[in-house]
Amino acid sequence: MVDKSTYSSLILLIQFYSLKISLSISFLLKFYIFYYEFPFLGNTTSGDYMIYEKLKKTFHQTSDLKHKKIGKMNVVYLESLCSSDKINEYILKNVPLKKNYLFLRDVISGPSVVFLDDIEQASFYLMNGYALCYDKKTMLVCEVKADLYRAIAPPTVEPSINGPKDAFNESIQTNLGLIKRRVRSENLVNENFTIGKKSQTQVSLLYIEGTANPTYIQEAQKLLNHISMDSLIEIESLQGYLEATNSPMPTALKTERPDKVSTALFAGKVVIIADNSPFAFILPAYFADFINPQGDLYVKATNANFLKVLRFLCLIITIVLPGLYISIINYNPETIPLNLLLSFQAARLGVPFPSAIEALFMISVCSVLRESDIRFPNSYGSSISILGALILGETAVSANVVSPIMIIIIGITFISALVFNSGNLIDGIRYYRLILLLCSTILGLYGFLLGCFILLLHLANMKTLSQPYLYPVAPFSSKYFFKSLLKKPKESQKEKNLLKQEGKL
Amino acid sequence: MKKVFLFLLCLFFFTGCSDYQELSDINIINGIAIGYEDGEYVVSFEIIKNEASDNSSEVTSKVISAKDSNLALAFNEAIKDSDKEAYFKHVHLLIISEEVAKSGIGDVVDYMLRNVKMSTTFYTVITEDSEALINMKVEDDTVSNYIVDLISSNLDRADLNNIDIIVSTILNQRKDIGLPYIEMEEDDKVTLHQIAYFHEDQMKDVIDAKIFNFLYLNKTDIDFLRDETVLNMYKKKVDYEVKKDKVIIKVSGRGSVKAVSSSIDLEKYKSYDEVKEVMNKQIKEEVEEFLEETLSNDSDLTGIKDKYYKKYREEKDNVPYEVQVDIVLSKNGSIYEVIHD
Amino acid sequence: MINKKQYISLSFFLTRIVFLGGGFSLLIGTSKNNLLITSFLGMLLGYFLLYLFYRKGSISKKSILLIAIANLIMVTISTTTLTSTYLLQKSSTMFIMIAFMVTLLYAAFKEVKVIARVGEIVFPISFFITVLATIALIYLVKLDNLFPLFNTNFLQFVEGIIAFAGASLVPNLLLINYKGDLTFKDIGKGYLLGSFTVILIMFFILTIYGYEFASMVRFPEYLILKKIDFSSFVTNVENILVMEWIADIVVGSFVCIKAIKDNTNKYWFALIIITLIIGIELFFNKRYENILLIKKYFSYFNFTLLFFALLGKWQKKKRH
Repeated sequence: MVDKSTYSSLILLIQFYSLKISLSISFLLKFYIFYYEFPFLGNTTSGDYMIYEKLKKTFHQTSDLKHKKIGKMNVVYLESLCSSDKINEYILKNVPLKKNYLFLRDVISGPSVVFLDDIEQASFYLMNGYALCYDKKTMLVCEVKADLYRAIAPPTVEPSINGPKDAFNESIQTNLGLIKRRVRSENLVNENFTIGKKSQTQVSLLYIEGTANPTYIQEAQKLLNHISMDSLIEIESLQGYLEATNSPMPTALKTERPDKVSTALFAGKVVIIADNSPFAFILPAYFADFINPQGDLYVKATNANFLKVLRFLCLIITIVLPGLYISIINYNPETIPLNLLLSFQAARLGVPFPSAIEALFMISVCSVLRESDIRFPNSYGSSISILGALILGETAVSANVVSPIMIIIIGITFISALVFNSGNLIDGIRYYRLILLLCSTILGLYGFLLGCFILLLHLANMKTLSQPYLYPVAPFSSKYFFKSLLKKPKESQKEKNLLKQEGKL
Repeated sequence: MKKVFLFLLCLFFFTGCSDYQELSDINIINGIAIGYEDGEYVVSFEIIKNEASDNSSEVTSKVISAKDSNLALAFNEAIKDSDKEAYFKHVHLLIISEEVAKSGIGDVVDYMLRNVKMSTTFYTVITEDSEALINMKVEDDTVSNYIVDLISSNLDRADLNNIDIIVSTILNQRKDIGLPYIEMEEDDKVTLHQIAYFHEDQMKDVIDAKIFNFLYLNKTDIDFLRDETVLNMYKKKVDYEVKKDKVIIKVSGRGSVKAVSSSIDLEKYKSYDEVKEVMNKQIKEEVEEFLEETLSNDSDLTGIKDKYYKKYREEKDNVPYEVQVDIVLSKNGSIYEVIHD
Repeated sequence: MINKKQYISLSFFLTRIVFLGGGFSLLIGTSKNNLLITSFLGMLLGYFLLYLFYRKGSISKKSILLIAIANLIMVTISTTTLTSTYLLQKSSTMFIMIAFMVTLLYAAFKEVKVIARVGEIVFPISFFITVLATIALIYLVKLDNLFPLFNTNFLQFVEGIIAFAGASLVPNLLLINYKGDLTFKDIGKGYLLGSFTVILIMFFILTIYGYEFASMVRFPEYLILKKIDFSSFVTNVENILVMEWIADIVVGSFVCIKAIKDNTNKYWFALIIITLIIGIELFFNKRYENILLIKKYFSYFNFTLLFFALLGKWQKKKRH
């Protein structure tokens, strides 16, 4: 028979050992769960500093790679790319409050957290403004990007009197936000690409599903997938990949205005934006798209059409005028009325150079002046303009180096070119101007005409996203013609009808 | 390979530019005078002198001349005398002397048309001494411009300044041309009151320009005087009715009374018929006199023979004609009667 | 392939290319005062023959080659002659011709679509300038010069019709193979428009000059442009306006050279071009009498090419 005291002590002993066993089992179970969830754990068992040392070696001992250990957790980040406020807010502040945390993810309160399987993935995220947090069981990255971008500023290259005054900046997220503010549609698709082996720049392809032409989308995807470059600093570098021929004329419309991008998206085009670039590319970009600014949409149609016609004339003048002048003055002066011809002749008396050389000289000087105007800081601006005016104006004419007529001709040529926003267009037509000048010098009006045909053939042969560049002029499309080159007051008419129906007219 | 080809092509093209001429290397010729002296053609060019001066409205010219038995050679000689390349595309006036015109302007117009460097839109005038006319002194202008202004203000006709249309009329042997005849007076003054009329390419004589202007020109501002009544025909229309036996020239138009004789009171209805009858007679007489004089010299300025041929395909040397005049008095001035007798 | 508007514009140019530099003075000399009547009847004949070719469907390669080479020779000669007579008197004709050929060769290596687009752009400019130039000459028109009618014999009358039809229709045949699904109405429009503008110019030449003068002038269509005068300010614009003619010829020649390139291999093509340049320089530019010969008989030769092109298989009529 068992004694009562022995029985009770036996019960106590059984309870003690069963508790111990259950605790061990639960501990083992948790260990098992952790192991399955985070299989890399086998790698971290060798020590906290090993990961940091490994990363430091990867980043070539860079001084801004920081390491912080708080309790069980380690934080590694690149100080230059991360915001210390965010690190505090999302990571460090929470650690003392949750000392005995079970899961690392409960400590991190950041909105964007990615769990990593392998240390090799860590360098990509560190370079993108993420902080690496790890302990013995878990490794994750949390976004703590510093705001290294400037605020949304008014457009500098494409100012507008009547339109919105916001422009893109270097942050792709901000740019996406500016676009999505205008295109509030769930059909706005944003496909991401990473371009640049070393720069790993994020590039987005935007289009509205159901509106965009599927051909454009496929072509753009094909082009972006086949780009292979080391680094993409600015979106302009993509221009060479987006076109098939080496032409001086641009085939992608570069813009810094989100309203222009939204208009293009609604018109069925595709848009490419890139991180670190305050510009976007609109494709396909026809020749007609480069001529008129976005501001025309915010003006009455009749007024806008007058300006559109004027701009088109300016385009023709800026390409054709020097060549036409040389061919008429030097091959066919009978076209000029006699009194004007006599004044031209008197103006050219004493000028030692032939007109063609004079024209080339003046074009070069004006191009140099324009370049210096772009590059020089504002504080020197006034002295440059005085120098330019003196050189081109008084001094050159009084020294009989150039004739006043040539200054007027080249002046009109360059002023007509400045009507356009697109710097690429202005740079492109410079070549055409020179070719026509050369053809006119050699063969007069006949050469000028043949030169015009060669340029027309060149333009007609160009393609933008496999579409003909001269659309809607050739092949002619009245619908797009009245959208781009001339404006129909359709909306205003519709609006009038609506008001009439409601009895307000 | 493509670049080598392009380079060779550029080199090839740069050897061209032979037609390139600078404005400072040309002499702009404004007028040409062709005369005849001692059996040789005398060709004179009026070259515009362009010197840089403060007074931009001042235009001066100089004249160079050359002689040769053949017109083309005379032109070549004159071109050689010019220090720079002669530029003919701004020729505004061709002066032909009477002697050359009477022997036939065929050679002259043939040279003008055949020469590709020549303009074809210039006025052709006849004068007694072409060299004297082109050497005339004009203040602040060239002789050619002065005479062209004179012609365009007095004779407004579409084809007078087109030598090829003149030639096409000559080739149509059923019609003849009339060219302005410039008379030079003593104090370097010129007048344009006469027309030199031609038969084919030979000048026949000169006639007063009044009826020529009245019948053939666009602008009309011709005064007719009879019995102290002066009628200014400011609008006219000339129609031709071609019948088998004759051609009827119907002149109609509107007149403005500039002066009336003392016996006419324009307040009365009957007076208008009187004035009309009188002026119709006057105009008819003057037109008939004009046609008679020109047709007697085989010069058919009206083209009566041509119109008859076009209708009846019959070439007749003398086609009978009749002049019918029917004018309307539409503007009579502010007063009805004569103020003083 | 090329769309309707592009077809019409190319057809418009091809209808006109043979007329410059030989067509007008020849036709005026043959038809005299019946010029407008014979041209109109020639246009109708050409329209009917165009319908036959439309029904035929396509033209054999050899015919296309023959037509393209013949017309290219003719237009090269006429362009070179016009340019060297009035525009560039001192430059050598070889130089002018090579500049022309270089432009054509640049176009030959592009697709037909590209040439069609260029034609589409140049067409309204060309049409507008033609109409503007003719409107500026209305004040010089004398309808009397059109009479008397029927002052030629029957043979000359028929010759005039054939010459017009040959000159206007045959270059158009180069486009038949590109017609695609276009209806005859679309194809005929360009031909009628081109013929109409040619007849309009003939009307002005005849009424301003009369047939006696016009038939003795090498380029009457150039001479009438010299008459344009707007208030003594816009004068002597003939050299600028004749550029419009040369533009028409250049676009038409693009089609000719493209037809040659597409129907031969690259060696034959190079041989043809080099032979053309050397041949024209030796036989025509240096000896004007040969140019007279070719101008006199070319339109008739073109007309005979029509019958050569009519040979071959005809496409079956589509039954629905």
